[in-house]
Amino acid sequence: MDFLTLRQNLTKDFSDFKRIKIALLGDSSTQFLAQSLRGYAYEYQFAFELFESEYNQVEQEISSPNSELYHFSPVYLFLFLSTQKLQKDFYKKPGDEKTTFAEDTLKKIEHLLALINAKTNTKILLPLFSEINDYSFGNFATKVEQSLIYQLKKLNFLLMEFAKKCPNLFLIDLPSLERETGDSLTRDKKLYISGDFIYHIDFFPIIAKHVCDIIAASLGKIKKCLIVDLDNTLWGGIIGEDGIERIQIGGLGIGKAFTELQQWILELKNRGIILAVCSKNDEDTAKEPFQKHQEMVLRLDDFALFLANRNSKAENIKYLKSVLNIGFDSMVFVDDSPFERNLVKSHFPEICVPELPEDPVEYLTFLQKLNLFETTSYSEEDQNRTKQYQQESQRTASQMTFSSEDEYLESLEMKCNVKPFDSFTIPRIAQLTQRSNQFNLRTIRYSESDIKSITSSDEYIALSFSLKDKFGDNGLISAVILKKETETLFLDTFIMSCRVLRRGVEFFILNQLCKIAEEKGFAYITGEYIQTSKNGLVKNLLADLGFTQKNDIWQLAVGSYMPNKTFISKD
Amino acid sequence: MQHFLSDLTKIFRTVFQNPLLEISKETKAADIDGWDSLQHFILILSIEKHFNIKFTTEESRNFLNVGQIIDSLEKKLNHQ
Repeated sequence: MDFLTLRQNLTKDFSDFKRIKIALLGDSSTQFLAQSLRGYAYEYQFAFELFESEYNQVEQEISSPNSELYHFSPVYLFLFLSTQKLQKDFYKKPGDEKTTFAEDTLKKIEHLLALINAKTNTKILLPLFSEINDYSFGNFATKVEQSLIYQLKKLNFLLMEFAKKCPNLFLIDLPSLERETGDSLTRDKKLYISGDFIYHIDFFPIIAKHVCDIIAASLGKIKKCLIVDLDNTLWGGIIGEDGIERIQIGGLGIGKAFTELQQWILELKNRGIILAVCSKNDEDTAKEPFQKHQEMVLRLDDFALFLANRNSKAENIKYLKSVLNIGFDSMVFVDDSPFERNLVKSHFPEICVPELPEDPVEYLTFLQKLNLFETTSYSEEDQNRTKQYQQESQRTASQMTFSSEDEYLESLEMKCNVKPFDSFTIPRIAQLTQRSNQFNLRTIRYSESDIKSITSSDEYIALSFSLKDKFGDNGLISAVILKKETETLFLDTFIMSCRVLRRGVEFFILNQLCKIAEEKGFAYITGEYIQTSKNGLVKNLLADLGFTQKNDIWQLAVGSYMPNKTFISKD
Repeated sequence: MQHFLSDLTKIFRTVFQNPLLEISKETKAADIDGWDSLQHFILILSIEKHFNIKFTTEESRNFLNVGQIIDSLEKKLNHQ
């Protein structure tokens, strides 16, 4: 979107949108960036309450303990530092100091971040620096430590290494954005020389989009599932007509385009995106290439669900939602047919349906540039997600053979491991608080650093629950944070992955909580339900668990609690 | 010339977000609400995009009124 189009958003009605406090600190002119951020927020249904520092006041705002920045108390802080300012410093340094420029600059940035973290609990967004080659050494600069480009590339790498250790720091991969956009649409010297704007006016909206993407991801608005069509989407041609020898994949025709698309989709799967097929085909015909074609990259076991039939795609997606238990807004639907895209969009406006370009060779770059799969966390469990969903469909199949629910649950031989949060589970727990929408009593989102401080605090009891059964390991599926009050443990957080609904895990958990409360001398457990548009599932949870309501707070007396029946044993 | 003025009127209306705005060769920054240095950047970029030309930085800083923008446009577009 160009700047002028985006600017029209500013006059629209933001009143129903989520208000978010964000501070923008820049060492160059930030007015166009500020307007772009506000404007782009509309597309994400956010209303940014924006604090924009005075021109080039980054260090002052951060160093002075009573600065307006800290009074404002932002939830997100966008630290918009420019290569242009670094470049000026770099040129002033004598040769030997140039060789340590990256380390020295990293130290300065670390210092700024430490000051911020000491004063306020905010998520910090920082762009990587533009990698500008001034060609004073030509291409040989890549081997010369005293050159600008050498130090800038090194600085970016050091920053990435540093950021791995800082859960509240999110880097924006600006050099990649610049490369995709192209220099002529990224920079505007006129604007830079006259107004100290370091980018082209139409590049600010691109930065704003990525800031919004990161903020949305940190609020749990992420895509979890990619639904793909087959004919002319995953391969060229129509399997039912062309046959396995004639579809274009690998060496045949423009098959390379589809091969590379499949490779990317496999990368998504490996990082935790659930894949599903939704195709109007006979099932056997549709499966054949995955089983027999030498050059297919994706195989049947890469998909959590394979829906190839003659039903409408809307029906198939409805079914898919019921099996996977995820919201429509976390699905992406990729199909070459405008008819199918419109059908899906009109039935489920929340599903993301990219309007693919006409030429299949453009699909991959087009999809990548949309940045649909932004995330703010990554854990080991992500890699196993597909397997877990596959096991879930085995469970569903086995359930059919039992006459009663209890019999089925008993047959699963479920075992649950209960333990306090630790350094291994903290990333997954933070992720659960960010991702879980349905089984979530209060929907408080925590970052890794929040979870760390809760873990080490005496004011909380925090427990994680991992479940396995005879079909496989579900991994860490629930977390409970109890805040200690006099006589009472308050359920600050009670979340559970929807993969394990209807297994009685909540009853098992409550049994455990009551035991702990009793051991530690607390008379009551209290809880609260904060309604969102998505957590209707747990509206009656506290009542079902035996809590009684007093105003908005629900209470359970530990002394008179009778343990609930469960089919889960403690591991 | 008239052709430039009517194109420029459309651009001015978009940039200054005023669909009724009328301009003439004599119109200068002080005559239009919001024509500050920031909007001036946006205006110049919009004109450049529309006519597919580039003003030099010096030129774009020194336009005193709409007439001077038209003069420069005439020169650039006639030379092409």
